[in-house]
Amino acid sequence: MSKRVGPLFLLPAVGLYLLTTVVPLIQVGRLSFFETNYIATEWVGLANYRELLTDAAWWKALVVTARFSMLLVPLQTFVPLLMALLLTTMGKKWQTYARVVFYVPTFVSGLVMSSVWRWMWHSEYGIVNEVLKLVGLPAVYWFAGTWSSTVAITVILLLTTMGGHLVIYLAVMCGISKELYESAAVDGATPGQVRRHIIVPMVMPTVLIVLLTATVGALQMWYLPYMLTDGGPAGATTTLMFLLFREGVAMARYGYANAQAMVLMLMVVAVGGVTQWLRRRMR
Amino acid sequence: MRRAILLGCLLLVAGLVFGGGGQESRVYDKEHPLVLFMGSPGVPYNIEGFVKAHENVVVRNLSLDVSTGGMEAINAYLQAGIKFMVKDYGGRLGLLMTPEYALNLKPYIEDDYYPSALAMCTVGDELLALPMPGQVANFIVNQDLLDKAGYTVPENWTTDDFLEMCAKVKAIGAVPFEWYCGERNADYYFMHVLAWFGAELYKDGDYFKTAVDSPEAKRAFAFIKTLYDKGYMRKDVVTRKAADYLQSVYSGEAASYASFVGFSPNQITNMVTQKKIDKEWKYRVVPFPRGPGVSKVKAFTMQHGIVVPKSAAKGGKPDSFKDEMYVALAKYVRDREVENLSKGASVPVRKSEEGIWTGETSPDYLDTAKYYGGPWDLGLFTKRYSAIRFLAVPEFQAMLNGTKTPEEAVKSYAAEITKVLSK
Repeated sequence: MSKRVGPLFLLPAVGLYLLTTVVPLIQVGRLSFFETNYIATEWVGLANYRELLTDAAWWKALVVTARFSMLLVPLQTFVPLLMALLLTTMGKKWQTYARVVFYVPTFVSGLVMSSVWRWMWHSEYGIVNEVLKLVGLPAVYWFAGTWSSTVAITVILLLTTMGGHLVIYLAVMCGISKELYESAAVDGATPGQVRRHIIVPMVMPTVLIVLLTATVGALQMWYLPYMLTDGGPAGATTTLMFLLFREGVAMARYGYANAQAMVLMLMVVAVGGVTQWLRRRMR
Repeated sequence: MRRAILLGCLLLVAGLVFGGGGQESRVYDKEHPLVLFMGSPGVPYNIEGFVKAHENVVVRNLSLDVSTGGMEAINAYLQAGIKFMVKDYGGRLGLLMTPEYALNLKPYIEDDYYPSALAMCTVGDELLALPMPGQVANFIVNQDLLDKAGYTVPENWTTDDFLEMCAKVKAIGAVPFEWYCGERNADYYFMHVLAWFGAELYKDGDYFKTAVDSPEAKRAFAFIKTLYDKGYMRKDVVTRKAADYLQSVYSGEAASYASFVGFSPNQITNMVTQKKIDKEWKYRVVPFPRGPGVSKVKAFTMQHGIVVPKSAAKGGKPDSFKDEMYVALAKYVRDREVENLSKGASVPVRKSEEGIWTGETSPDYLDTAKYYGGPWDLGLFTKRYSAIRFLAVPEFQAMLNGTKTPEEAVKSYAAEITKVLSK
C-alpha cells in the first residue's frame, strides 16, 4: 500500500516543477519555430535560427557577453575564495561579521539595487566620483564609455553577488575535518602549506560549482544594462539576455526571442557539461 | 499507478502547452453588460458621458503603465487573452495594428479625414487605427536665464543665432541646451534636431526606402557634435535618460530644450508645489532654429491613434454590437481629447479640425504656428516604425563618444533603417 501511496506525495512538487519549468521550456522551444506577437502566430520553421546566425546585433551581444564573462567569472570565483582563505586565519567573530556584511546585499532585488547604484555612479551627483575628486582624480562619466560602463557594471555585480560565494566557501572550509589540521600540525606544516595542501584541494570541487554558477550568471546578465545603460553606449553593454528581452518584450517578436533563448540555453548546458567533465577528471 | 501518474503529467503538460480558449456569443442587457477594456497610458479619461448613454456597457480602464515605452504591460494582457482598445503613440500602436488584432475602421469613420492621416494608420487596405491629432513639439527657452545672459531670441531664428545664445548662456554658467540620448524611448525629445536642418527619414511618401543618408542629416549630426564639443550641452548626455532630462528642464537649469507646450507650464507649477524649486521661472515658446537653407522647419509631432480590437477570433463570427460599441467609445475618447487639446499645438487629421491651426489658438503657439512647414514625416504606424524609432540612439552615442564621425554615424543609421525596411 505504501508503495502506491508514496509517489502521490510527490505530486505537488512534481506538478509545481512541471508548471514552472518544464511547460515554459517546452513552450519556448515550440514558439522558437513560430513568428508570434501573441496576436498572430505563424509557423516559420528554422527561419528564426537562420536570422540569428546572420544577425550582427546578436553576434555583437555575444562578444559583449564574453567580455563581461571574462572579467566577471574569475573575479566572482576567486575574490570570495581569497577572502574566505583570509577569514579562516581570523576569529569566528570576523567570519560572522563578513558573512552578514557581504551576504545581506544578495537579499535585495537586483532592480532595486540597480537604482541605488545608478545614483552612486552618477557622473554629477554620485559618491564614486566624489571619492575620486577627494583623492585628486577627475570625475568619470561611468556609463558613457565602453570600458568605463563595463567596469562599473562588473564592480556592481561583484559586490552584490560575492556574498553568496563567500558564504559557500566559508562553509566548506569550516567543514574540513579538524583531524587533518592536527595531522598537518604534527607533521610540522606551515600555515601556507596547510592552505595549499589541505584547504585548497578540499575546496576545489566547490570552486568548480561556483565557477559554473558565476558563468551561468554572466551569460544571463541583463538587469544592470537595462536599468543603467539601456544596453549602451552604442550597444557596449547589450548582452545576449538583454537583447533577448528587448527583441521579445519591447519589440514583441517572441518567436525570434525564443530562438535566442534556446541558443543561450544550449550555451549554458555546454558550460555545465564542461564543468561536469572537469569534476570527473579531478576525481 | 506509476504509469497513471506519468500519463496524468503528460496530459497536463500537453494541455497547458497546446490548450487554447474559445469565444462564446452573448446577448447584452443591463443584467449582462458588455465589458469593454480600455488601455490608456497616463491620463484617465472621463467616459461618464459614454457610459450614461449606453446602459448595457461597462468600460474598464486598464490604466496601463507604458512609461518605459515598451510593450511589457500590454503584452501581459495580450498573453492573458484580453483584447482592449488603446490610445497610444505611433511606436507601440504599430505593434498592435495587425489585421489579426485590430478592427478595420474604414466602414465607421467620417469622410473628412485627410488622406495622409489615414495613410499613417492603414495597413494593406485596412484602416487599423483611428488617427488622432498629434501634439507638436516646440522649443522652450528659459527667459529668466536668457535675460541674465543678455540675449533675446530673434524672430524666426537660425542655428547661428542659437550658437550665439549658447555661448552667452555658457558664459553665465548655465546649461545652454538640454538634450539626451541615454535611452531609446522618448525619441521625440531629441530627434527634432534632424528637422532643424531639413533632413527627412522618408521622401515623397516612399516608406520602403529611407532618405536619411543626406547632406542635411550629416549637418544635423555634425551640429550636435559641435554643441557637445563646445560644452553647450551636458557631457553625460550619452547616459542621461528622459527622467533626468525632464527633471533638469522643469527645474529651470537649462536655457533651451524641446518639449510639448501642454507639459511645460503644468510641470513647472508641479516642481514648485513639490518644493523642488523655489519659484516658477518664465518660459517662452519659440520655433526651432532653422538650419542653413531651411525656410520653414517641419513640425515634429507626437502623432498617435486609437486601435480598436476586432471581436471576431480567427475564422469566427464578429460580435457586431461589441464592434460598434468599441468604435463609439473610440470616437468618444477622440472627441473629448480634441476638445481639450492645446489649440494651435496640434497637427489636425480632419478638415473639421482646421481651426486648430488658424482659429482660436493658445497664445503660446500662435506665434510659432506660422513658422511650421507642415508635419515632419515619421512614416507609417507599422511595426517597422516601431523598430526604426530606436535606431538613432546608438549612432548618436557612438558619434559623441568619438567612435564614429557624424558622416559615419549617418551612414550607419541609414544602413540600420534599410535593414528594417527590407524585412
